[in-house]
Amino acid sequence: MKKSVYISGSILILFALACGFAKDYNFRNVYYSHNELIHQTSRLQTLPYLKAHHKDGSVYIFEDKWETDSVNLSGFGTYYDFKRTAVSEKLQVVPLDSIALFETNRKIESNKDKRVKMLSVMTAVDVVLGIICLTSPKTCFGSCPTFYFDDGNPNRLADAESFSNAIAPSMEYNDVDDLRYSGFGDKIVTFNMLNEALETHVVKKTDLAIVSKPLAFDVFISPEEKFYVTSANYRLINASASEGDITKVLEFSDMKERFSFADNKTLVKKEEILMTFDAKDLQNTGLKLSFRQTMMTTYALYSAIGYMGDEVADIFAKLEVSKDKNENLKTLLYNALGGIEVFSQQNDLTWKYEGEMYETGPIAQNHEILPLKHLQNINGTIKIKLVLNKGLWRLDQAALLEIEQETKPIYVQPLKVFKNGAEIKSVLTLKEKGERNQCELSMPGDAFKIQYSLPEIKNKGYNYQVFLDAKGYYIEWMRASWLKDKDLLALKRMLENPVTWLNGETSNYKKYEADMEKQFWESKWTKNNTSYESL
Amino acid sequence: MNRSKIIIPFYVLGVLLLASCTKKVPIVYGVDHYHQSPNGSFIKAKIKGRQEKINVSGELIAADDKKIIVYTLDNPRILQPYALRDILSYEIYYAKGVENYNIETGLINASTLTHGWFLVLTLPINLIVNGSINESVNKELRFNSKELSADRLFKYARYPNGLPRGIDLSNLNKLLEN
Repeated sequence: MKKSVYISGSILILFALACGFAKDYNFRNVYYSHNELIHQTSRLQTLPYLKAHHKDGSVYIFEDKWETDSVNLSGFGTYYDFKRTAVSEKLQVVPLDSIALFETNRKIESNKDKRVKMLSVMTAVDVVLGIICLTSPKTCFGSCPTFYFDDGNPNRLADAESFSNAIAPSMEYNDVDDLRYSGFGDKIVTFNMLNEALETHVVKKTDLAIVSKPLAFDVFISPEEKFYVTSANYRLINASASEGDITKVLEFSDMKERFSFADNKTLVKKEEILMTFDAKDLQNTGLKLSFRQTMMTTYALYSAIGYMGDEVADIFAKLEVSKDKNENLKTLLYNALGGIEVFSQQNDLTWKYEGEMYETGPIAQNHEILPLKHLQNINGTIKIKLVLNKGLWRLDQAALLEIEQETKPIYVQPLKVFKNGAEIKSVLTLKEKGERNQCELSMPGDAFKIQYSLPEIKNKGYNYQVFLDAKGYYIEWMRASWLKDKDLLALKRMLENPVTWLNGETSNYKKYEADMEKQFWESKWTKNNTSYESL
Repeated sequence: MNRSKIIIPFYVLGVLLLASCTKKVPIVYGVDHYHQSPNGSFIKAKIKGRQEKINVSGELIAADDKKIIVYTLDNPRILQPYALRDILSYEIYYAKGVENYNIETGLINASTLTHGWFLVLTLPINLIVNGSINESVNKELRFNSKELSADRLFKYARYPNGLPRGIDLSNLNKLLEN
């Protein structure tokens, strides 16, 4: 905060200086008589430039070497007739009594040097700011409210991005995210909630959902937001996709992600990943995936807003009051692109549908578990097939876990909230149900530090697995540069038939796809952490 | 993040370059040579018309305590008198700025895209400061109606002492055409 105050203060000083360019108001004078001219200019060290306006409308323009006697004005100059055609350029001798008016002009001091200095300073300030941004990634581009465990690491990747789908008030929803943080009881933990994009975040809840579990166990949420305590991890023996063996990529949660590019002809095309797990003693098993989306859905979202152009507010207002259209928008891309569908192989070698996972957003990874109901052990192995839209998902890990039990979390509200460094009385700490519809506004650049007190755990050898339970929505700011993309017909086509629209956008999307991820993260992380892959 | 986020910098760069452009002012030379112009200064004036405001621009030919005469930029150019009482405001340009910082300020403005969320703060400030730098180029060569009262306009006319003897508007029009 201090940094931004210093920077803005410095730039405002520059602004004040820029406004202070001196202006010369008295460089030109006119004299109606020869005597007046002589009196006013005789004491000057340098003679002014002189124009002698003739009674017939013509004019003599002299440089700064001219002289008068009692009869004539003489000097080297140019004579222009009344039409301002140059007639002669020579030593002119002009009878004083033919002159109607003398005009003198003093040399004007230009502010050019000051302007160049000002530009140099501005350039230097901007370059320094650019470097600050690159070395302080949390100040750079992002999207949706992002949450970071407060461990003092400026290069930490976002632990959660909340309610990514809630792009309008009526689309507000409760979003539970796995923060992949476990902590002991009777302890204060702090998370940072940042607004890293040109968006207005309206946050109504940032509680923690915590689950007590033995130290050696883990807890994951299902797509239905049920909490499961898990134990054993069955080894991934083999994983393959169209590009070949991807076992090593999916084996561990190491931020090395498996992804594919969209099909060249259509954005809506499925692909398959086949996995084999070593699972001799199956009881109650679930498939855990760590995943996030590529930029495809965000591309679609911003395209939609661009299509709305200067009618974005009107259209969103209509969506707010139209339940059907609103529901349509909520599930638009999900219906078109689908989630990550999970199938298990049966003894007769057919595939049985187990369920699917879907979370919007390209920033923070999701870690979810899907309980598998139809698993069959085939010669001591389990075969799982994922069917997913090509180019839409980035998978970090696929693991088969033993589910010990379903459990209920304890909800912990924030203890203290600090906004941009100062403690505030925040609605996020309000405990009464009726009060919880109030919201905390977060504008671009706002940084909230939210403290929680984890309750004491009586059982030794237990700790808490911590999840974020957030609720709210956000408003994407319309950019001036998007206004020219206005195309209500395209918007209509997109809303009515997203699959056709996505197919039509394939070539446009493909132009950017290869570099989108790289460019996005390069705008955010330090050179040491240019992307997930670089970790 | 998506197509827009990737191409926004290019859109913004274009917008900023355009936003940095200054209006072209015809007539006369750079500040070093303004005194060598035999012509009147360039004037842009808002005139109270019968029903709506009229924007007039051209060379200031003459000015007295009742009217100004402007050699307009219309095609064909004509001499047009306007009563002082009908003039709502004006700007006089006695020279055309020869400095041009459009590219520099455009690039500097665009560089704020690297500032992350500071952009919210730095982009408008850059636009204002850089805009004022560009504006100052012309501003220092220009007087508006608050800075230069109407009774001093004649100093910037082609004929500061009024139309030449024996010449009125109608025949001057013809003479200037030839």
